[in-house]
Amino acid sequence: MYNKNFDIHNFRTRLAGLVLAALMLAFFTVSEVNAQKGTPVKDVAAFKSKLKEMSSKIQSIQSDFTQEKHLTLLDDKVISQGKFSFKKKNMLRWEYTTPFPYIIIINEDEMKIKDEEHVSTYDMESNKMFGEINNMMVGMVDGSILESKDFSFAFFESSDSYFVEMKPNRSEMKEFLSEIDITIKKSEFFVSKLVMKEPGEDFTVLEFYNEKLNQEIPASRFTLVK
Amino acid sequence: MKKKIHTLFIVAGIISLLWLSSCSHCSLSGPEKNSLKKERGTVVASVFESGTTSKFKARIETGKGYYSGILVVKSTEVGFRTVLLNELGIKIFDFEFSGPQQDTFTVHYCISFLQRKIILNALHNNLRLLLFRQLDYSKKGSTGNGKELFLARGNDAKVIIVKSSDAVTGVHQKSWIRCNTEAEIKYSDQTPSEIHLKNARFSLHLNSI
Repeated sequence: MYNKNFDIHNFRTRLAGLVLAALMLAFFTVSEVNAQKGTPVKDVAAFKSKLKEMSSKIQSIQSDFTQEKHLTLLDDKVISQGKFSFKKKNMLRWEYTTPFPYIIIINEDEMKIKDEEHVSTYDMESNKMFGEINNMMVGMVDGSILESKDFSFAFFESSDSYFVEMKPNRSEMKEFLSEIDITIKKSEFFVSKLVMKEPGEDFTVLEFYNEKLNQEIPASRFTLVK
Repeated sequence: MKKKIHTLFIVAGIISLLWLSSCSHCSLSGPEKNSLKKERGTVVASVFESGTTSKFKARIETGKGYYSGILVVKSTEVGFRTVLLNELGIKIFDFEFSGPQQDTFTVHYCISFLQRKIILNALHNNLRLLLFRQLDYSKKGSTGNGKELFLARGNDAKVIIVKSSDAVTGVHQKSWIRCNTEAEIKYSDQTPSEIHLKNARFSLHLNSI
């Protein structure tokens, strides 16, 4: 349709304005993202090698953690707290103390959950989601995750931390996680923060603190009885 | 041939009786049920107040297994949103209930292992019993212990709302098609603190956090 009021000069001026605004928005968005993530790691091989070396020295980890669930549906966050323990090669204990007590134990291929009333046992094969998360957690702690073909990686660094951005490649994990961001302290090469982004805008932030490395943890910490 | 048909009827009868007895589940006493008399009106049947958000430690049991974590119930302009998070914070489902008897069910998200019609139907049909706002009742009753009972008829079920001190403390569903279901609700500071919903094939236990 022909518009007799159409002014080509005015149109060009507006178009130029729009392009400039889009460029500025893109520049500031990238700047803001980089401010959060830091700058890209120049020598990724050296970073991986260092992480592997440091991870090989870790036999056990104990730390406190805070888990914040951000749901677009809610104005506030769902906050949980507890204690985390890891022992090589494949033993994890998540002990939640708030908002209510429960314990998740992952010992080799078996997972147990204990709440105030029940102890439930799961085969990791049958509970794919917990299996995927367990593999990811253990892989992060022992550094093997960076060799995994299940994720695409991008590496950034700031003055005190490394930042690893992981995007799942497999559909099983894509179903419930779209991106995992790991913050690793440069001082100890220890995972201090984990952000698990879900498809959509919901995400979970796990922060680890008061960490104790390589202290003896009895094997009984990774078992649960009914 | 006649004998065969006769046997078939007996077997079908036994199966039907077993099925019906497995579903029968009602803790309303005889006098409570007998107190219901014809009377029409509208009752506020909300367990959750408008504009509120509630969080619960949740345990949901179906014939196929159980799911636990945190259940968020948010009252919206059109109805309710219910979101279940597992122990590690991962979202398991996000459902929306709307319509006069919360019978419009929208699945915003559901993890693949729950995406089976039988499980989704069980979640919808049972959760909605806790999410009514107003119901038109056709019978009303009261008991000596301060309880008021309201009987409302849905498409394929009768629902009895039990109120004590103006709060919904029980919901009973009686149906030939669906399992008979009963829910008990306890309050603390006028907000639901403990909810137990149960029938032969499904149970839901919520404790506020």
